[in-house]
Amino acid sequence: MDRFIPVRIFGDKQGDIFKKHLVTWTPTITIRDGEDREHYRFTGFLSPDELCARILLEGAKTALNLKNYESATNWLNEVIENYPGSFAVPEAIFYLGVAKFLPDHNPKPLKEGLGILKKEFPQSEWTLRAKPYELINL
Amino acid sequence: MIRWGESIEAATIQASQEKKLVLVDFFNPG
Repeated sequence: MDRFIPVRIFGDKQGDIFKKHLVTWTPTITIRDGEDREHYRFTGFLSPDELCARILLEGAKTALNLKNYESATNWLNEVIENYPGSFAVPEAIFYLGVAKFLPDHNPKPLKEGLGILKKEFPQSEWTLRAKPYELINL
Repeated sequence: MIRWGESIEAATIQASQEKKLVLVDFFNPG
């Protein structure tokens, strides 16, 4: 959590802020950057481990948006290594391939990620989303 | 123990200065 500045907005006292940010259901957590832009949000209750994994994942995706590929890679590896049974892992594997691809456009990590997804999470929607990477010729 | 802020604007300024991200928890105690 030391990578985030945490803010809590209470619906009963700060309803105007709920309206401004189009929040219709709670709990909703949004991830924002230092330029006042929202990048990701998720809604609903999660167990402590699932919550930590999800926050790390959305933080990693935000780092990707900000072209901070090293941080994104580190955070995604943390999701995969520290929260191995969590729902966030297949998506983290998908985005780890993206984070490794983007700096120099070497497609190998995309295909490697697909290989892991097919082996470990064959039923995941993230395996389906990565399926076109089968066509990559290395 | 997490020290929650109450202002998105203040957190955004702090995040910009410290090169961090802002996590906002929209919460309904009722």
